[in-house]
Amino acid sequence: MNMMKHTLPRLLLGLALLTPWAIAQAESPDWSLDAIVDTRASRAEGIRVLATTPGGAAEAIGIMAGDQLLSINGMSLADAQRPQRTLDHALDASGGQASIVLLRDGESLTLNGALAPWAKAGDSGCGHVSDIDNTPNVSQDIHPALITQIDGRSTPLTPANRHRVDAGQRVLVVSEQIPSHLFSRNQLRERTRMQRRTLARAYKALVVEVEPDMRYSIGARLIRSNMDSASIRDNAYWEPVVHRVRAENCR
Amino acid sequence: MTPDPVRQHLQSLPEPPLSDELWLRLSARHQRRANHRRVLRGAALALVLGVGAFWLAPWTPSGESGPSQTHPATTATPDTSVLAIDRALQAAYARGASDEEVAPLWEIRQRMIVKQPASSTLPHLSATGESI
Repeated sequence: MNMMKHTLPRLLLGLALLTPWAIAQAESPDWSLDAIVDTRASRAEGIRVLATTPGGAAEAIGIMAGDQLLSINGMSLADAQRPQRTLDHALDASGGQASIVLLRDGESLTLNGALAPWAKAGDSGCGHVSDIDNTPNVSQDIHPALITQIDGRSTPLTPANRHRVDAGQRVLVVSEQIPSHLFSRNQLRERTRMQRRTLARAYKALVVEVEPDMRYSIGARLIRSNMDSASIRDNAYWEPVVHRVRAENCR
Repeated sequence: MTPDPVRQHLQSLPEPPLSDELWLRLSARHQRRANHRRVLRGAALALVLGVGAFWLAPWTPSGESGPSQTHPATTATPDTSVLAIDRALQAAYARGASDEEVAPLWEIRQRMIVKQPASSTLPHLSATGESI
């Protein structure tokens, strides 16, 4: 009993000391290939590289757009049931060094090189982006817009007052909600046709440099000079903009 | 004798010969003045150059002391905007986004790559419509 009295605090102390280590392990940086890979489906010939980031790890290793990744450090990507999960697992387990087997023009190649550490999210604070602050500035031709994606992830379907995002460069995809009465009948017809034809292709992306504790209001600017039929068909009559920036505490 | 005959008489007199020493003195004086003007011009030019250098110096970015540092070698660091877009694209593919959904991201990526290394963000407007 006496021994338990001494052992238990030590165990608790040991656990307390181990906890930060455990958290640090869980948050240890994973690795990035700095490439865009179509992980929606995997075939026998692997997963396809769609592009490499200029100056990034994949480019340095020698990977090219069109290559088919077969394996990373021996972990097969061909016919993977969940290609993205397999790819993530292979990159996380790589320790930053990868031996990549790929197919290029039907030939098998092995490339070796260093991966890029993935920057930890949330290290530098957070801010907000909002599409609901739209008492838009009509004199500037700024009108309502809807944020449909943030960093490639869909926003919730239910309206949100604001979206909390990590500080840094955020990539938003925006749909214009410009009131119909600003278009003539013909312009409106062209716009409806274009939106039906292009669906989500009619949305536009913008990159916002989010500073910590700042709120960015997103809108759609109507470009009056581009309201002819051809420009509307080309979806050139508007652009997404940050129309207001103000300080707002973010936790 | 009226003034006119006096003038006529004086004009008719022969000119007195000038001594060689006088010519030497005049020549030396002329040379000194020319030298003096040259020195003044040089000093003025040096002053203008000095003042100009003093005014221009604060506009020169620090650390740019030679041509070799004016255009630093390109590093392997990816452009942050393109990197952010590429990561957004990969996240979209990871969740199985349709081709229509990823199209706006590909479009902005293409524009960024064409624009590199210029400013890579789309227009940001303040409440007054000014660029921020």
